[in-house]
Amino acid sequence: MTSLVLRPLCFNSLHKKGLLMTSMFFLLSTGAWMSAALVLRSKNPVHSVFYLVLTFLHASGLLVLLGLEFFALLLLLVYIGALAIMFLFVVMLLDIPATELMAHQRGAYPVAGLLFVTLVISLVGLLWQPVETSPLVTPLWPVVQGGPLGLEFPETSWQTAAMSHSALAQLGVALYGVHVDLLLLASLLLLVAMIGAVALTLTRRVHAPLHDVFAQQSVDYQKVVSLVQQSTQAKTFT
Amino acid sequence: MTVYVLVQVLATVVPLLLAVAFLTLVERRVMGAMQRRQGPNVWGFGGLLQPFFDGLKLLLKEPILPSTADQPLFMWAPVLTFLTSQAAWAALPTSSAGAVSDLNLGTMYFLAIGSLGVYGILLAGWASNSKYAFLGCCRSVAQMISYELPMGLIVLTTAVVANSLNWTVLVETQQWVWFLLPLWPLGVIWMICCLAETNRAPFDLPEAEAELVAGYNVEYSSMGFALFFIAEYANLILMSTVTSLLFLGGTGAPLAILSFLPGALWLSLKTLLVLFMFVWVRATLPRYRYDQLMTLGWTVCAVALLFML
Repeated sequence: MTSLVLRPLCFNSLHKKGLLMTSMFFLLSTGAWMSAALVLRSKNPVHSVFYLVLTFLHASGLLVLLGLEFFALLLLLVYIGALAIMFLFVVMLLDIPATELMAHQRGAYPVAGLLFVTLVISLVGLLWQPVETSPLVTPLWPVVQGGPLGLEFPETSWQTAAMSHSALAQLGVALYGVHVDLLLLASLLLLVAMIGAVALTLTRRVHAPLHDVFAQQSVDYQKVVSLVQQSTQAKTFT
Repeated sequence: MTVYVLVQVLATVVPLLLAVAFLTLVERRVMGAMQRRQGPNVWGFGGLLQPFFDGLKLLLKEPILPSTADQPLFMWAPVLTFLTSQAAWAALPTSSAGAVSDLNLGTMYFLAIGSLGVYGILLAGWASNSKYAFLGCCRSVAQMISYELPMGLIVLTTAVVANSLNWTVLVETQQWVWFLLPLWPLGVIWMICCLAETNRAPFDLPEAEAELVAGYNVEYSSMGFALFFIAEYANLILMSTVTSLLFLGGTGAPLAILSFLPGALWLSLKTLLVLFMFVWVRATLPRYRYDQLMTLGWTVCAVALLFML
């Protein structure tokens, strides 16, 4: 009896939720496309970066719709919280004239065209989803269940893993268990880039004064400041 | 359902705004007491009506739009700052009943909203088209994003200890011992980060009355300024609440015998304690130099936290 009453209700609510999700998807993706177009259209580079931030925001909204809250928050934290602000700082402080921008754009057209072709090819490639035997999914170092790392699922059961574990747990196992070799390589690459950037920019002026705050603070004032007895002769001069 | 959520949101935001109003009064009165003067005490009992008259004054002032400013961005900046200062409250369990939305990734949500809050300031400083505002906003933003890193690391450490990113679980883990006791070095660094993140003394370099007039909001008057002001104090309360959630056991009672009192009361008492600390620090410590601030953030806090983690 209860099931008879409940079933239409459930169906109704599911249907409503689907409608909401679809409309949200269209809203967010339209917003993303429009702000991406405005990045290119706007004359002011600072406005462009702000539109880029809007694009990121819409993209993170889309990720939430997919149920990947962790990645959405990561996008917010890393791209909007750190990267876009760096862009903004550079663009704001440089004050680039529009003519120079135009001059630089002309040279960049072939590169942009190449990137566009790559994008189209990879989008078409998305039609063929990675299968379980593709090198995207299978690790270089085969993982055994109950092995030394104590991994929870072997490499072949991604489908069941996707159903039973949260996105965060799956990411953890994939990143730190299955693809740990790639993770180490990528982090080494980033480390080299970081050290390179520091080494390029860290130049010390030869005559720059060096402050040691602790030494300055811990000076015994009785040794530095002394009471000078003023002679009567000096008083007459003043 | 929608009405229920709306009621919950209102029940969070309205007390927050009232708390912001009274916090300004508390700050002036407490600082007055610390500096041996009275502070505002004429309107209402002990000056209780003062914040409302201040708000009324700001509301009735003439809004000025600088002609050289980037109008739409100039208008949106205070709104954005205000909204982000309110949005982070959604995930915080401010009573024993839980939060408005009890997210599993609540701590990350808090950090992400914090990083969004920077944009309002950045927009305000840039759109004002004024040197003072821009320098103030550069300082402010650089300071905030530098100190977001140690904050994130501290939250991460506590999350590792509690084995969850959920605020409610974090609070439940502290049922027996507050995180302040085992993790006190983190607590000290957290307080420093909070002071820097909210641009408060001794790290209120963006304001620097002597050299920068008042920071990123120089060009704003009336309601725009009021929104920035409210957002600043709401952030202050937010940071204090997060401090009491992370380190002082949140809604839990300090002793098991006292647990008959509601959790919201305990949380607000702890938050008040932390807020008093903020005011105390402002009345006590002199301002830092900017390069010292950055050195402290990047070489001391971040490195120490990485080792601790």
